[in-house]
Amino acid sequence: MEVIAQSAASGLLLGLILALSAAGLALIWGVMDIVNFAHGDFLMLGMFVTFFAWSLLGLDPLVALPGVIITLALVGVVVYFAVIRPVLRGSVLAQIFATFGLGILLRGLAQFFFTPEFRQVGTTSVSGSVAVGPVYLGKPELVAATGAVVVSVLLFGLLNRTTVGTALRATAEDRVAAELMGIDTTRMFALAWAIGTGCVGAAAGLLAIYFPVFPDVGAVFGLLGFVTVALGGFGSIAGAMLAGVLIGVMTSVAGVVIDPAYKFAVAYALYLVVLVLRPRGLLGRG
Amino acid sequence: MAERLRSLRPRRVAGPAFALAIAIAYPFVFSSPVAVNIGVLVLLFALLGTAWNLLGGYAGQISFGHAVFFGTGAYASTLLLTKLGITPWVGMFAGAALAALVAVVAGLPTFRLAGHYFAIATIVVAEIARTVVRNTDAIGGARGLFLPILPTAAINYEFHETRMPYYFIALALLMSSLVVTVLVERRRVGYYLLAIREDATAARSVGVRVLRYKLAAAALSAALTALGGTFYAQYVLFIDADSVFPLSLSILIALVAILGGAGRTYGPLLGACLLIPLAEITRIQLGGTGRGTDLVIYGALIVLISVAQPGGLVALVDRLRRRLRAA
Amino acid sequence: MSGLLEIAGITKHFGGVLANDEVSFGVPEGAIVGLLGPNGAGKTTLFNCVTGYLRADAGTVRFAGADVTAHSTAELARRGLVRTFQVVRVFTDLSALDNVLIGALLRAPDVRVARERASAALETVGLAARAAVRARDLTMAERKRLELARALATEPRALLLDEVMSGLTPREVASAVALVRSLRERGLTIVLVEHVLEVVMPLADRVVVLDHGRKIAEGEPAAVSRDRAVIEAYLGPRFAHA
Repeated sequence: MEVIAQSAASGLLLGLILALSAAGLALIWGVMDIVNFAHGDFLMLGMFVTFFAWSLLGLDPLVALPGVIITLALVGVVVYFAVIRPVLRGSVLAQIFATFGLGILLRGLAQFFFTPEFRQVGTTSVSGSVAVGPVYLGKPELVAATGAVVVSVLLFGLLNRTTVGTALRATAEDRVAAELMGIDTTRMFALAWAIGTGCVGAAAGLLAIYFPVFPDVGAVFGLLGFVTVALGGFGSIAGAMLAGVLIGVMTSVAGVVIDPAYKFAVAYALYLVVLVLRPRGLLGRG
Repeated sequence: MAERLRSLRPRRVAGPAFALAIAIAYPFVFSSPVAVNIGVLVLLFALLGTAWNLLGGYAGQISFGHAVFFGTGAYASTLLLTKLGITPWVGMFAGAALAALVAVVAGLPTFRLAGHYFAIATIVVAEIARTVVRNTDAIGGARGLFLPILPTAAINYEFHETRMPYYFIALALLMSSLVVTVLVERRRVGYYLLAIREDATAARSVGVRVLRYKLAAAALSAALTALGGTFYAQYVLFIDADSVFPLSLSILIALVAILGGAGRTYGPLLGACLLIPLAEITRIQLGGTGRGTDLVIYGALIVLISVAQPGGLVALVDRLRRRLRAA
Repeated sequence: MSGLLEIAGITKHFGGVLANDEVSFGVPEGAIVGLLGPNGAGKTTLFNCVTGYLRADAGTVRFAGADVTAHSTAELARRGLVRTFQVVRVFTDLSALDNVLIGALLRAPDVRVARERASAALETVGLAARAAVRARDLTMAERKRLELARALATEPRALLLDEVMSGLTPREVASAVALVRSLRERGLTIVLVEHVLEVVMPLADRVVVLDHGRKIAEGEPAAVSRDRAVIEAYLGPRFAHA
């Protein structure tokens, strides 16, 4: 029982970060109906930026976080104009492959420059653990999860309390109507990429506090990201966050209760079951 | 009648006949083991891409999970051989049938999903399959399966002295998949698959039973892919979950087809001719260092093609041909 | 009063909105029936319920004597009830001929026969010269004709046309009206959904008027156009008193 509580707790902490990165994916998906199949590799990129900020510049991951977010947001904008915009009018096939190829390219570049070895941010401003009842929580994990909650709240404020956020949501709701209302959709798309990949950058910076960094780290997180967004419901950022927490807890508990080998398979199976029973996801519209 | 005559016009036969002549001559001209191996892989991936094309290119159902069918073919024939002593020549059809069944069972729920949701569902199905195979000790589990080394003989589907027989088996498999494709293209099913790809709702409005045709395309595509799986098992004589069920294989299969030209008869063949030698040569030259140069080239190529030439190489060839004719 | 198509008590809710409220009417074989109503009156919803795109909450649809309620769209097409779409849906990457060929395959024994019948259907709608053009390169009016040709090629008994005239120039409308007349002369039964009265009135044998999901009038075009409820629905209450 204690083992389950322990794994649920650490799953929850990871799930909060997963939720933040899924929110970024969901934003892009919702605003322009494009799935960024390079999602996991953006996460990898953000983790490497965090790692090198620590190892080369001696920056604590929490100090480097704003820089990582901005870097990833910039990468997102560049990718939007260089890769996404040209394929917007193309077939779904071309769209899927453009981002897929980008992911492979990023992973290859990371391997080329950084080699496949595992790296870990060493000493940080936080370490040790705290006991909550029978459960021990690592302080780095706690700090990272708290950071994810803070950034998530900021994201919600941005989307729901600002003019830009309203324009973004209007674009997601109905692209043509938004255009008629004078919203510059190209700018909105670029903005969605900036904010979306910025969220991934935030998640990456927080994850790198305690998670090892390597070129393939995005593979599993990427797939979990798609599953999370689809599970949460198309276009629903709140749904993506809910699903992120759910999947974090579930994979972690399944790893203990069923078999560590099956922890991700359980999340994938959940995706299939939910989509078959409720194609619009947990909180999806339509 | 006009159509009949057109299909027999020399120009439509000349291209494929020329390509076949080159394919037959290749292993005699480039007879080093490395060159023949590349030839075998080109033919194998051309087969896999052609099989993928039936579902992904014609019916427009983008699958990133075709490794499931490849793995099913490889495991089915190998288990039949090792446990029951059944020759892979029979086993490959058992594998094909099983893969078709898997396609129908997996397709029934997932074909209700559209676009990205379907693509993600195919990845998820394949990853679940890989996890299950990897963790089921009864079929080798994480250690995989070694095939018995039998004397070189056609009936054993094993040839140890030279890779030539494998080359020609792969060529025959590829040709059958192309024949299947041409037959599908010219028949009702081919037109219905295109209709489903273009607009499933409109297809329904003129009486197309969409799910039935999607399932048919998936079953056919899966069966052909499984034949490739059996071939691979016999060629390499060792299989495990990570070599015949991985996501990277699924992506490479789709990539070959899309790079060459999805929904075009010879697109996947063209894609395999470009991509596989490129991948193999970079792997031999630069691989082993684990530096991922092949990934960089792959990735850059995919991005470039999807941004600059979404129709694939076939569309590029079409354009060149038109320009030549105009000049 | 048994027609080829009998719609009885069709009711459809979307959340709290009642899109169709017990709509009933019949379509006699060989007739042109106009289904009218202002935008948002529930015409397309009714179409979708009848043709299997939506499942009605209540009510029945009978076609050619058989109960076809909740039958799939494909099944209805096989029985000879075929529709077109308000927002035109063609197979954009295929040639005009292949678009229609796919419709013709429903009854044709093979592709060769289907191709011949498709050519004939293109001729009927006046698109024969555009057979080799890809659908995406056709004009909007041509695409509407193409969709009609594709539906015709299935050799339907009844055609449900959803706003085939909208977005056309007056000249295009005139030729579309002539086309619909010629189809009736071939024995086809036609239901026309339109929100523009002027198009339907001279063409239809009978009209049914929907407003806020309910049937508010049914009868001969001339009588219905004098109906106070219809005038109110279209022009607002002020005009009804004038």
